[in-house]
Amino acid sequence: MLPRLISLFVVLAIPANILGYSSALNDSERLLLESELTLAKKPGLYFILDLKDKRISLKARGILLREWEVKQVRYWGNPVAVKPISLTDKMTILPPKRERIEPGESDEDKKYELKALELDDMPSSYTLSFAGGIFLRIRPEAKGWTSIFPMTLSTLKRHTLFPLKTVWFSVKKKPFTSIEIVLNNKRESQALYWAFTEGTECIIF
Amino acid sequence: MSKKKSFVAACIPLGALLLIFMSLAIAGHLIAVQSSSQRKNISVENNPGQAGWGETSPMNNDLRRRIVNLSPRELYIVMDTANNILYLKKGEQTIRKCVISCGSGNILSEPGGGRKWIFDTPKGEFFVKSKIREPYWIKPDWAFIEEGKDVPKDAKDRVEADFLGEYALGFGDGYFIHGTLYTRLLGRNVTHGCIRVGDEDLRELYMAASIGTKIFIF
Repeated sequence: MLPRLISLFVVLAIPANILGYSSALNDSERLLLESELTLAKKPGLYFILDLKDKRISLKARGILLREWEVKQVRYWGNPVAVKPISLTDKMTILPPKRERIEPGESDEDKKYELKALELDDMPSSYTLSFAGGIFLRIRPEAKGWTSIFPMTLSTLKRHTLFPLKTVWFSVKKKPFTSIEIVLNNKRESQALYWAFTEGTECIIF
Repeated sequence: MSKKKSFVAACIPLGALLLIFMSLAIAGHLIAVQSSSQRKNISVENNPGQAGWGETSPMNNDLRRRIVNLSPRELYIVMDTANNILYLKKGEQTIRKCVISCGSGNILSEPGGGRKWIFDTPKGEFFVKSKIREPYWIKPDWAFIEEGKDVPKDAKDRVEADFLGEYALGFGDGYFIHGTLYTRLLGRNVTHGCIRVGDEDLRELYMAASIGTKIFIF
């Protein structure tokens, strides 16, 4: 009798668990799709940060314009609701500077020497700040001996600064979420900085 | 002996500080762990009473269909201003890939502290508003200021022929996709915001695009 009861329990419990899990998946996917539909209806570009599948998609009207593969994701702090949020600020130690044109000095033939704001001038490590206390820290994958310093800094931050920030925001009863995203290389990271403009809407999934 | 005592005395506040710091760090870790466990349940909490698998999937499929229906059915143009590449696309298929020149991002200020121009290519969604053969460039004020010349009062003095190539596609606010005399600069960010394209690519684009063709710039 007992083995039969156990097998009945197993037969009933496993599918129930699977159903519950897939229901949760369906629900979060539905939230994502509903949010994307809201953004796709509007003219303009939007980002989808799929932390589960480790990719960042730049889209418009549902079309994929560009995709970034995410090497590594580290999540810290409060959970983020699956809904559109807008970029409020791009923060970096040395922000790119625009060149000033001196009137009368323009010469198309000298444009090779002219300094312009190009992809190479973009920072590769930066923080994107979103409404609701969400911070996205982007950096390229560190390689070689030069990576020792940034890696140490990142580890230190993770074990000291973020716990302290979490306590601080918790005491102040304000939300705080920090997501560290490591991209494949410097150029990818710079291209993401270029594509993100203030006010751009984004869904973190 | 006194040296040892003073060393111990100095260590006490340091140790206390370290203890406080470590306690706060551990508290932060515990809060974070609690928050991350909430994250796992967020989708379920936000949707109480939602039924299972079979019932929500058609809904998601419908949402997916509605998103796909928003994408252009016809040809559309995608421009990557960071890499200076233009894609002529239909659905997911790339019909043509062209090297272009986009805005330099430079700043020009009018002497005397008047107006200011930032030479960026705008980002976002646009559509082809005009198609022009043998376009003339009506030089705007900044073009004269940049050259250190006086802005002419007569509109005729603003007209410059043979500067924009054979064709131009306007997408609003004075921005055009046009030809260039400086083909060696294609692939670099050197323009005042317009998109410069090589002759052959421009001809293809002009033939393929029609008024209303969507343009996505990032």
